[in-house]
Amino acid sequence: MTTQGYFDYNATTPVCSEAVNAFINAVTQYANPSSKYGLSKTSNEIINDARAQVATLIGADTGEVFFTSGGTESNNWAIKGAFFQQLKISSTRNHLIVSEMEHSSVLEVCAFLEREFDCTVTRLKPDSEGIVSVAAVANALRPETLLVSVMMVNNEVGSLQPIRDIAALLDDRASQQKNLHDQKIHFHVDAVQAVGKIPVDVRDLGVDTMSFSGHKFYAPKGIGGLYIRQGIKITPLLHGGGQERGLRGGTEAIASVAAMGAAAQVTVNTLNDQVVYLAKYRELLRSELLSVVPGVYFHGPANKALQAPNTLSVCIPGIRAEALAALLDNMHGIQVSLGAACSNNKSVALSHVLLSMGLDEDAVKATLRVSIGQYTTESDIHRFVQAVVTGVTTLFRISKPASQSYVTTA
Amino acid sequence: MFNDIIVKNFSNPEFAAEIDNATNTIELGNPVCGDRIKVQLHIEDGVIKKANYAAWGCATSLATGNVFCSHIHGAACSDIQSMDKANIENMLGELDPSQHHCLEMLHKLFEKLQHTIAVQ
Repeated sequence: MTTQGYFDYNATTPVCSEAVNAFINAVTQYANPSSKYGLSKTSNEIINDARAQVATLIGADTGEVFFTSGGTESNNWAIKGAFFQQLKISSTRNHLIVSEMEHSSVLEVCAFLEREFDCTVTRLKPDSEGIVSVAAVANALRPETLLVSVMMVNNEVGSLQPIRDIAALLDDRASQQKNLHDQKIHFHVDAVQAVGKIPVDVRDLGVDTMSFSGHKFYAPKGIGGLYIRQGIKITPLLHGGGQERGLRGGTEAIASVAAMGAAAQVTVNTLNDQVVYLAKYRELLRSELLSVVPGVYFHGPANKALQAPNTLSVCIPGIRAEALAALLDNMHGIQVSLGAACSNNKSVALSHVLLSMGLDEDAVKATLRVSIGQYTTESDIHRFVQAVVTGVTTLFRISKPASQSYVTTA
Repeated sequence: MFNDIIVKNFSNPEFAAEIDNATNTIELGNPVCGDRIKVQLHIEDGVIKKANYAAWGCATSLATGNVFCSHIHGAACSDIQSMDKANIENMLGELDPSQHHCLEMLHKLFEKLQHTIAVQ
């Protein structure tokens, strides 16, 4: 399957050949890793090796890596697990802090806890560049705050959040409030869009739990993990079976685990180079679009060091991005994501991320999310920009008098 | 996903243009999603000699403008007046729920056209 038109790496990535090979080799190992006979030894080794590979990718100990089905499960588990763990001790510590731009698997879990349990949620607005400030977190803290959850990299605009500084803030607060609470505030980080795209080191960050997803870094769908810092207690996700140290029961998906391990290994070896050339390609994309699409601008951090190197949020005023994406897909075989889409006769689904950054409806509807990855080439970028020019020209021809030229040629 | 009728009509919108000597104009907006369609007509001797459109909106609504114009371009006004809802229902092909508002827009365009012809 060709990847030359694929510009949606934040949605998912193609599976790398190393992950495919690891999957194929492991899928025939039918022995249950939990069994005690010799036949299970290979299955166990595959899982242990993969856990070590993933641990290396995020700077964790192997005992801190727990396999799950992916990012949504990991986010659900971390937040519910921390909440229910605290509930065993005291129900008065019941305040959660999240950012408004979190993934729905964070926001909807918090809404569920708010709805079903005696708990309050503070949702922090990011600034217009898509960054949540440490000061905003500090101002929201209460004596009864139990958990803070902030994503590491935003999926739509690629903004990097000040995770290390928030962790330091929570550590400081814990030392000041030792008498009020025995436990520090749990800091969960959704790093689904970070792991595999930028260097991530859990020790350096100082987080308590951290979600990641294999299919965002060239492993298959359906496998991911949760980092749980040694000493941090959260309630089990799946009871029964005893797998994942009793916290997430269920016979391991050996082939998927092996594939994610292999993908993690490749990422460890290539990430430093990838970060450099993806940033170069992103800037090439930005400058080419600026030169041929008048009025185009970009959402996200002005300081490019604060943006994931593979993500560009592109706004073309005067067009509907949904229509441009349809043209790109059907005329050029190019895939991108959208800031808004018609959802039914009564409503339009607008990106909660872009709205939280203060964008108005017209800007959200004019926004495309472009995300590149390790198979993107320079010629793919040129082809993409040409296709955008053709598409925008067509859309302006439909929406404006044909005599007026809205797009210059490349 | 888009069906073949929608893809063909938004990717090659042959009726997207302006008419200098338009005799009538039909405009339609969808307050929910912001889609807008403006159709210009040149009606002469009981025949729609020309129909062109401009549109701003999702891909399906852009296609809707073109589908509408392609069905009325060159048509006799009497034929338009005798059309009923069943004739229009399948013009856009099979639609996803998110695209159904465009079928409503198409019905409204025909209603407006029939009204325009009736008062002429």
